[in-house]
Amino acid sequence: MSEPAKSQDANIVSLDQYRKGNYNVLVPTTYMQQISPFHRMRVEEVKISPNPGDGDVFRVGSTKVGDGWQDVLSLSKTAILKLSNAAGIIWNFYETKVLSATQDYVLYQAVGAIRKTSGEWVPLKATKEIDLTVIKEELMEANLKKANEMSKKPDERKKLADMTPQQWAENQTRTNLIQWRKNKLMRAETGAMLRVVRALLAIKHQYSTQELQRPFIVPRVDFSPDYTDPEVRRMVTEHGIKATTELFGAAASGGNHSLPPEQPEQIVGQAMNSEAFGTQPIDADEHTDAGSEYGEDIESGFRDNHDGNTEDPCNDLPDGENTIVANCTACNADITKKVADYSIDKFGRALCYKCQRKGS
Amino acid sequence: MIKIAHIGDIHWGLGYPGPSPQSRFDDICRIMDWSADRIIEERCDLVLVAGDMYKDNRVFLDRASIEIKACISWLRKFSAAKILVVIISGTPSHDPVSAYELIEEMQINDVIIKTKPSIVPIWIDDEPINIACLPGMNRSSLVTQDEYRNMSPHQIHQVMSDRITQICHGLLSQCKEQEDTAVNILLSHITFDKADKGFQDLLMQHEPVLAAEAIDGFDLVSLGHIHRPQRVGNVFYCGSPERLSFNDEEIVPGFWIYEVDGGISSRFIETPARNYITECWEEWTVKGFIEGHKPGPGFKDAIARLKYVCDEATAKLLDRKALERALYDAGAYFVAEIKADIQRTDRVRDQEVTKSMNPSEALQKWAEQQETPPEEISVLQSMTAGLMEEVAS
Repeated sequence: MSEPAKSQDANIVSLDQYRKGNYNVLVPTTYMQQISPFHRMRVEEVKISPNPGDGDVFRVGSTKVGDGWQDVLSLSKTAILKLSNAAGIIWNFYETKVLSATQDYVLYQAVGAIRKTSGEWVPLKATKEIDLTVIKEELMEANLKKANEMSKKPDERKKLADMTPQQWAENQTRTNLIQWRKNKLMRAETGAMLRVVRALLAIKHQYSTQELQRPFIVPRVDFSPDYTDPEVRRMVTEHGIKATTELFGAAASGGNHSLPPEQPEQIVGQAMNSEAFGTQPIDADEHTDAGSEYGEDIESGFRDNHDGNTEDPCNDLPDGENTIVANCTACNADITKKVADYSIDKFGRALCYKCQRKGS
Repeated sequence: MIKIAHIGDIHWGLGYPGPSPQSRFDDICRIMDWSADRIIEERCDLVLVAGDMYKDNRVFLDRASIEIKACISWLRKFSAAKILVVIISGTPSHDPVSAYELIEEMQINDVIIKTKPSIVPIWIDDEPINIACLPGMNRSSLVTQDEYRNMSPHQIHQVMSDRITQICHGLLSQCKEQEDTAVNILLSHITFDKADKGFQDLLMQHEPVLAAEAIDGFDLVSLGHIHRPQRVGNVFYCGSPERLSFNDEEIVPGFWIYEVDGGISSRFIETPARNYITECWEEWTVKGFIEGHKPGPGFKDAIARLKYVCDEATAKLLDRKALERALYDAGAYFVAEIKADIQRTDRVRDQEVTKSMNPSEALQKWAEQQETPPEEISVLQSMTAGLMEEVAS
């Protein structure tokens, strides 16, 4: 459900009324003031099922509460996308891309944006790295531990299938890695996008069942032009014609009813979406300003290690183009973002300057 | 006061499962005649048809001509009654734009057809009304452009949703160029992102959506596409006037009538559509039938589907042909399916299998019981873990 924001002053949304009303409010501020005349605030209510069977959450552990144990739950991709949709987050698909990919390694960057109450877009980027050599070591360690435990229990020993714990662990790790290898790009893409959403919306990493029984409140800012202004009408109509041409073909824009005589003075291709990414995105990996509008709990949002991939936010992609971000896929030399971008663009993979010249 | 009827998702077509390829088409024609009579009887001033008038795209001419003729006959009823009809085309993959263009060429009085976005400003009893038409669309025109060629479907859908918002704003802007006091109606064939689609939102971003932002400013939004009549604020889905498959079993088919008189009020008119009935029989019911009990009267005039659960011995005693005959004797219009779920007697429940086990452990137990080699169990468990992570991430 959604409703236009309400308060005594129509331009101010009091989020505290929702907090008191047993909701999970996804913005840390108490009030949000609308300061753009072209936009309107709306409050979206999103229900997330706390039942893991419904696909909105998955169990990441349990915690002792009183005499019993209580599930600790984390939001799944489905739930986070629901919240992202409600908040009106959009993606820059030109910058949401692989930065580096080899057989054992992938670094993916996602750039998303949310509209502030002023109507401005706040772009934010995050990366997700998957290094299969590290994952292999982690898996091997876990499998070996499991195999050793099984070998000590007579009723579980048969699971080793006449293999030594070392052999069993190697075998198990190999099969585990096939799945990782198969889905590494998709996991990295999802991981990077989810981190952007978590950061933009200040989504906590873990929730209890009780917390999830309360609906989420997501304030969003919608474009709402003033149609009484002829100039605004002309601009909005032009955008509409351009969009119609894109979706219905060129002939569509010449409809026989009431299109204004003026032709667009400029190509309106830089439509609303691209305006969102006109500024340099905030790097989620470095952004730690807890006092900002969207700053709460950003760091906890990044510890997204439910897939077993230990993450250190400090290791992720820094903002500067000259910072080392990846290794050459041919000679393993350190390469900067600028070089990586160029190489991926030209050669389809990350190569250092020397290997690019060699045509590796 | 202006009265407006909102109907759509008619899906005229031959070849629906039924006693003959024609029979369900006849059902649709019957319901549409009933609807037209009711709309005329209600003295509606305007009929909005929200797309998907046809069942299939690319059909042979002999079939297409029957379907288009049915549509034209229906439209002529309104034309004769001097009721204006505004029609938009629906989902291009099964609702051929060419059929709409053909009808448009016929220039039937008081019938306006739109296959591309535009507005229709009209006056009814000195009241100005603007109908912003946004027909159904697919992504084909977008994906052929270089800019979007390599995008994944969910990326394309996000771009489409964004463009749809821009088109709606543009249409509203054009409406605002007209009379200040006009009632502005958006007529479209699309999924509204707040609508109850009847399934979990797991498929989010798998189709373009009409966002709340896009409809801001319209007085009324009349939509087709989702076969589940509903109202969300000022957004209305008419659903289909006839049930067309078992997916529609639980819905109440019909159409809306709005009354515009300062404000807008609405009434849903239920159509006498054919029922779809699914019954699930437990073993004791199956045994009852074998002993001579007859199916109940619930199947009367309905399209029937029966699922039954029994053990192998009972299944052997059941004459499925006799069961089908009995369903027809009970009045079923058409028996679409009789499906058995036969419980194997050699199934043994392992005492160690409990609710507390996770899927991987449960899989291991099951595989051990099936005497699956341990190395294969490991592979299966690994694949399960991968799937679970995929779902969770």
